[in-house]
Amino acid sequence: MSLVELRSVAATYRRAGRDFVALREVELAIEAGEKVGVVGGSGSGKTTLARLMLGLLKPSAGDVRFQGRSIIGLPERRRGWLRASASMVFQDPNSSLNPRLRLRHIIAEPLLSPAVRNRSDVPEPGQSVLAAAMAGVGLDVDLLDRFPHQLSGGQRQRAAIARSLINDPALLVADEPVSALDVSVRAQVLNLLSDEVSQRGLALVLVSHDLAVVGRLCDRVIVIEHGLIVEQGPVGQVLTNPTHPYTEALVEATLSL
Amino acid sequence: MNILEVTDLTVRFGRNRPAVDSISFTLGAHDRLGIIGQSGSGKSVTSLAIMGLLPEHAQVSGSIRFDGRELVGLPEREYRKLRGDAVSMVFQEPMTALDPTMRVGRQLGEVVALHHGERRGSIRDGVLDWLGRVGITEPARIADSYPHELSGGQRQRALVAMALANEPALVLCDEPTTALDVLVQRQILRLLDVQLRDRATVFVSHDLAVVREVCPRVAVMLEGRIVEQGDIEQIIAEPRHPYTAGLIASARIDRVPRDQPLPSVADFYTPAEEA
Repeated sequence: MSLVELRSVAATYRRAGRDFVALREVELAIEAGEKVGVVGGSGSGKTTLARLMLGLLKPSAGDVRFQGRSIIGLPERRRGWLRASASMVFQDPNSSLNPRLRLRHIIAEPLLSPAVRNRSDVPEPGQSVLAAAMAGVGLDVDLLDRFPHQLSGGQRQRAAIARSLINDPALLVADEPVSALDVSVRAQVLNLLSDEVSQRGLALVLVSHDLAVVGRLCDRVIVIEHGLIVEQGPVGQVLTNPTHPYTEALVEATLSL
Repeated sequence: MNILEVTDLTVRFGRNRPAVDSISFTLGAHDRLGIIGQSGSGKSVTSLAIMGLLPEHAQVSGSIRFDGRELVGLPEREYRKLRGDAVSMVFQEPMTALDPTMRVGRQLGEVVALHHGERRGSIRDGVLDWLGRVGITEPARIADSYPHELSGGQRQRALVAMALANEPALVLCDEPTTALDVLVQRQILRLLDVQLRDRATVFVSHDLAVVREVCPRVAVMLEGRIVEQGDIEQIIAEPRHPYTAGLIASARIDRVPRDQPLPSVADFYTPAEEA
């Protein structure tokens, strides 16, 4: 049984009065502990794919299964198991962290949903749990009482990572986790993600248009163009010897120093 | 002759450490200078100072000479004329830089009209001509669209057209490709490279690899100061300031074996403790 399975998944949405096809006929399986990069340009459907895996979006056709169970049409009260096992880190920590909450409440949030609370193995978010979560991402424990706007961009993204890991998930989906960060802190956040994912044996789905980042963190890469998977394979092979013209264009457009 | 001479420019907001601290650089009429730095380094404040777009409470000292004319202390009325004519800016976020309630063609038309003062019919021609020059394939359809109906790349192209339609002598680009994916970024950088020929350009970015695509010369800003400036290839090959060395090393993600941690700027340079 794969950790995540997408079977003949399609997704459409309406914008400006027109229907757009974000994904079509996507077949995909992600195994426990696997590190998969999803690359493509803006509008390729890569973010849609990430959101489908967490049940944040509903496909217009097909099935999405997590740990062997379909997550389509699951009512809110039965989502606790999914929330406890899969987390997401978003691109922009400015908008993904609630500006009115202190860090201690933001980070504990995944432990506080009623459905998750019902799981006996989830610890109450006491000071020691929060302090450990902060230490794990290299944040000073004194920052627990700060609000997001009192932190730097790098600190905010570390806090978002602490929140995503506090429920000890089996899957972490990261959507462009470093592209809004200064180059000067990007490397540190990448090191942190890489260490946490390896140590915890998490499955990682990393959505990015930055091939260097994907090459650094992932073992397998999936290339999406206009909602279709056009190429996939081991990261070293796809990024050095792309076979699809779209992948070639992405590789060629990637700037390096 | 230099078209832009910035000498000992200092910008303060209140009593804090200056946001820009006594920086100097010059730009020839067809030169391009990249200004690189992280957020808070003073790079954007520098470009806003040149454009005369700083908030009123900013205290500016030193000199910004453009085409022989002093801009520090220039009245807003004069500045407005300058911005419509000889100096313009390409912003990072075209969605906020464009007016969402106005069709793209009308917004561009205002710039065309301002510069040429022509009759109505020829304004439309000017708009379509400019949209074509920035590589928009269906100029008439795009001109009649609202900004939200365009893709990110089309919006940035439209913004480049608006910045250039007044045929400015100096263009300030502030992170013009940061919000774009790599494919569109490549297209916009190529477009800028062509369209900025025969003009002077200041190109502000946090990304040295992006600046290198457009600018032969770079100034590195840190904590309001320029810590080094010169030929970009030489600086990449032999950075003199440890901060620059850190920026370069941390950007070379693809060169570090996966079992080794990535170097970060902090491994090379630690900021002095705040007093």
